[in-house]
Amino acid sequence: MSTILVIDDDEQFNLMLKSALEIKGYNVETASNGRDAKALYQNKQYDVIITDIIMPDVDGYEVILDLRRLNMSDRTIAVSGGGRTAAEDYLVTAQHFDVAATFNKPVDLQALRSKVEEIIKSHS
Amino acid sequence: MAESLYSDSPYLLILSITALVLSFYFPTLMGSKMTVQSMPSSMKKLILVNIIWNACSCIGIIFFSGNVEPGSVAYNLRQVLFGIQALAWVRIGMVSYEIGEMIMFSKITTLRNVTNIFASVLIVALTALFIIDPTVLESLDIQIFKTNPIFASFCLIYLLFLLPVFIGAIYQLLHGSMQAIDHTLAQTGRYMAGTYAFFVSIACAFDIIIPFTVNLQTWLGPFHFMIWHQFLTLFLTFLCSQYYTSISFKNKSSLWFLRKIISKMDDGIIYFNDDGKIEYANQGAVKLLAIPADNLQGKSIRSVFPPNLNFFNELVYNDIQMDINGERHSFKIHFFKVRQTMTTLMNVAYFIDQSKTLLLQKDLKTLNEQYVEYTHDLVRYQDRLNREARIKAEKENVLNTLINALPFRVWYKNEQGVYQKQNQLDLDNQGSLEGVNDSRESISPYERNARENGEAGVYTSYVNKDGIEVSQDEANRLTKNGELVQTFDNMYIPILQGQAPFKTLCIKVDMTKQRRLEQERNMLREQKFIHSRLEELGTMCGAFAHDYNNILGSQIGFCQLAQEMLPKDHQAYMFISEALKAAERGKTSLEELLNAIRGNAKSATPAIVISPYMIIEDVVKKLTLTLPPSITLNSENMDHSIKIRGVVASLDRIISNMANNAIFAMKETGGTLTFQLLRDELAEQLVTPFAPPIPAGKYAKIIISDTGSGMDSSTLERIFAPFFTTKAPGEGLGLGLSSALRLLKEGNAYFTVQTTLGKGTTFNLYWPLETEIKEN
Repeated sequence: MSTILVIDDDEQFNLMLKSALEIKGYNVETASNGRDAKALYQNKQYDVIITDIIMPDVDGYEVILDLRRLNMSDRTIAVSGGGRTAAEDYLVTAQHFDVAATFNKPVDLQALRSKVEEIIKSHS
Repeated sequence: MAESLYSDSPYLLILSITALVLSFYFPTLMGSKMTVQSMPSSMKKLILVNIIWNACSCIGIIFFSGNVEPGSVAYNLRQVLFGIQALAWVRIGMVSYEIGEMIMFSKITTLRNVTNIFASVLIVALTALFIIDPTVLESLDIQIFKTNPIFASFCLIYLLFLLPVFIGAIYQLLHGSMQAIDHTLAQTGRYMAGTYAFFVSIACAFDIIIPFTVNLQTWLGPFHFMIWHQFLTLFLTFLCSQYYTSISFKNKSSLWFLRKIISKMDDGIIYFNDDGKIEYANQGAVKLLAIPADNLQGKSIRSVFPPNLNFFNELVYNDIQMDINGERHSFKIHFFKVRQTMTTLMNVAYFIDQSKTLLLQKDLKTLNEQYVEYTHDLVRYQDRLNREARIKAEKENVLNTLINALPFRVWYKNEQGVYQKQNQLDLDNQGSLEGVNDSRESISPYERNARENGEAGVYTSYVNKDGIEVSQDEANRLTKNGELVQTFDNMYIPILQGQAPFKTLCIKVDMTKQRRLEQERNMLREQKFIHSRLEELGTMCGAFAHDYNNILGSQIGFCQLAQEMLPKDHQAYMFISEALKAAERGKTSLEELLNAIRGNAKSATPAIVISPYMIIEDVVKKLTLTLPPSITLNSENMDHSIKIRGVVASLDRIISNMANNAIFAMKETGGTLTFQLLRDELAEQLVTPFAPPIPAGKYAKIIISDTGSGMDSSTLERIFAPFFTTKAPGEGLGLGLSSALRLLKEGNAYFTVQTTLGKGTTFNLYWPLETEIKEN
């Protein structure tokens, strides 16, 4: 049973992704910011971590870089809806930090699920 | 019978009486020339002798003529008379000798007085002898003494005492006239000697020689003794007086002339007697000694001159120092004697004030030295003058060269507004206007103000393509129409010296190019402003979009999930599909909005060819305003020729953001932020840590380096993340470097970063160089 960590400050988005992935039979946990997430992924091995970038407190980049240090970049998916600047700006940077994939919001669920599937398969 | 001594001839009696009368009248005859008192004593004696002689002769002729019986009373009286007569004539020689001496200024000898006395004694004795014994001489047994004893004996006296004196007198006169320096004196002496000799020889011949040759007997009767002498003596007297008066007159005029000279002399003459008493002092002496003439008179010479001098010898003293009226004077004094009368001598002090001469000599010496000094000075001054002239010429040359090399027009007018000088640039523009006078009306009020009020003025003038000055509005209009308008800054600088009007220096600077650059700059600023406003809007929309996107994302996700759960024919499925469609539409319109904003921003700021140095300078200017004092900004190696293609606002943003970060990094420690702009050519791909690789090519390299805290690798990894910030909350959003990175990507540009912890960070931006070919 694969476990997926979803990090976003938007509770509704978290719930939506959690539902979408749970339907596919994954075990999904959520965190509303980088710090909560860190507490989780430090104690538990996740197969895939999906993180938003712009978040209060500890943002997505820190999570991404932290995961890179844990050699989990290839399990990381960055999601951004853009904000004060275009979403691409953030995602380009995220790519620069070697994440496995990036998705614009609103997220194409099919594509995301297949990407998750792909990552899990590649590690199994 | 005794011999006859006096003739009985009446002619001789008449002659004797006439001679007597003439003798008495002699002073009257001479009266027009001199008085009896002023006659010399010898002259008086001569007259006296004449009177006595002639008187005796008259008495003898009247009373004792012819032969007289010896021993009778008549005989005795006649002998006495004859003796008196002899005493008179024996003096003739002496007196005439004296007169000769007097005229010739010879010295008187006393010997003749002795002979004179001797002769007188002899005559008295002889007379007495003849009275006592008339025959006493007959015993001598000489023929002549037997026949004429009286005649012969008195002849002997004549020959013994008179003739030698006569001859001596002639000799003295001749001798004196030979030796006389004075021409007149010599002539007078010669004439006198001649006449003297003539009369003496005639008298001697007729009275002595002829009588003895004929034995004292003539057919008329016996010879009488000294008849010729008696009358010739009278003539001699006349002649003597004539000579004397002429000589004395000459002497007098000489004396008068001498006195005059003495009184006019500047040198001092003092006469003093043997007691040292001053008898005369001339004006020169009075002046030199500064003592009034009345005070000098009667004073002792010893009180006038230093008393240790020898006043009575003929001496010359040089450099006798005396104080006159408190001044030191040096005198040269001659002491000598002059004869004032035949017997008296007068001492003379003749003195000259040498101090003036010495002073003048000293002055002359000083002046000569000064003259030499001045000559040297003159040479030196000439040298200096030459040197100054050379320096001046050199300066002028430098000045002229400078004026001609100036990149703007310069000319110079005098107070009347006449052109004096133009530099080469102005000559090229206006041609030579030397000597041309611009009328007061034709010049600008600024120039007039400078000339007349001494106030410098600056104004900008615009000239259209025909060279005619136009207003600023007109110039703007023409520029908009794309026509050439030249802009000039005109300066009128008065040269303040003396009173108005002043000379004016005019400078005309062609500002056309600068103005164009300025306009360009303004345009860039405007663009940047528009961009930043749009960006602001974009940022706002972005924030909105982020939130809204999340909302839509959730909505769409849930809808999709719902659709997955429901069978497709379920009625709710259709509703969800519609909700999904609506959400998709919202997403589309959101994207459209964002695109519209971004698209507009892009179209408003197209990439153009720009000079990065201008932008860097702008940033530097902007930063300087808010720069903490501990931080210094530097621009180095600004290559103005570099051109790149890019969006002005983007480049400005990139540099500003990076600079702001650098300044932030140096906030605590202080330091230097340096901008550089240079060309760089990469021969091969450049790969550095923390940055994407840079392909080979030609780049404009902008280096932004600080001396701040530097970054550790974990910070460095994340610097380009949006919202990544090391700044405290409220100091920044952390958007700077991430947007810089995006903008670099947009501009097809690259970067490298080098950082050393504690020493500083350097960003190198590589922007593809816009080559000239591309530009064309």
